[in-house]
Amino acid sequence: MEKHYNNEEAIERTLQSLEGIQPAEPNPFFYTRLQARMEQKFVKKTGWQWRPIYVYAALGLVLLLNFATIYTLTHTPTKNTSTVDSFANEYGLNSVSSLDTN
Amino acid sequence: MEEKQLLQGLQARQESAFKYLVNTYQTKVYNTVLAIVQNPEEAEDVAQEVFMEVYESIEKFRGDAKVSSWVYRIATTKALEAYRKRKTQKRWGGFLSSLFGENDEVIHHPVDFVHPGVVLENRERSTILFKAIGKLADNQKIAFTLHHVEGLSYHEITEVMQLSLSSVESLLFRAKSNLRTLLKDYYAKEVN
Repeated sequence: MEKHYNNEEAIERTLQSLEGIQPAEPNPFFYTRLQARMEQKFVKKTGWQWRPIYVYAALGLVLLLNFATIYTLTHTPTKNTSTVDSFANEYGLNSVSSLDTN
Repeated sequence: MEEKQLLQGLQARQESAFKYLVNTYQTKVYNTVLAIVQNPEEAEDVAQEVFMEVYESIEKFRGDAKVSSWVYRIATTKALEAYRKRKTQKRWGGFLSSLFGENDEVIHHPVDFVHPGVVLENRERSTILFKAIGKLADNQKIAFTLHHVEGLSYHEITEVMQLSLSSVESLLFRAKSNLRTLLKDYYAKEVN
């Protein structure tokens, strides 16, 4: 009987063992570590190629290519007429055709 | 910072709002998670995941409940997931190890969990209690932890768990009853 009583007491005391419990605190600089982890996740998710510096570099390159193309197009004389003439000569299209009714 | 202000700041992805949220709730989250996963390193990991989830799902939060209730809800959910995952890993780890003939080794080393906030003279008993808490059904575990470890009122628990007051009362009653049964078995074995 005594054993049983002691067990009952032990059970109750164990059930009460959380009385007066104080909250456990995380390690210091929790926010700093959280920030670092979130930044890491962003890079991982979107890939290193989406890091701002690479995005700006890529945009810069595209713009440069655009300007270069526009510049090249506007500063190169067109050779359209000579191309058309040589084509016409090759196929004998300059003279009037014998099939013309007039 | 007022609740409305905080919510608006979070939705606008303002760092100051998020930082305020983390500083305000980090202890509550960590303490809740720790009581459930019963491992400080894991608790730190999960606590971080809780805030990441908060950040990522802020649009889903309608503001119809308190921010604290919502944060506690995410914390308890993630803690339970982590606890279940570790339990499963232990089970499979043991099975795989036995396949590779490492039966002699104790696969998982059940380290006795000591909650740092427990009064010194209660430490040993609380370790026994936390083992028993680990064996409770999920909802009983959450309700018991929120009340006895976090000190939330029954009303606050209804907001976190989105249950009626009578449901919470019932959960806490059953939790205590089940803990008593578990402890009875434990002490009976101890004597033998």
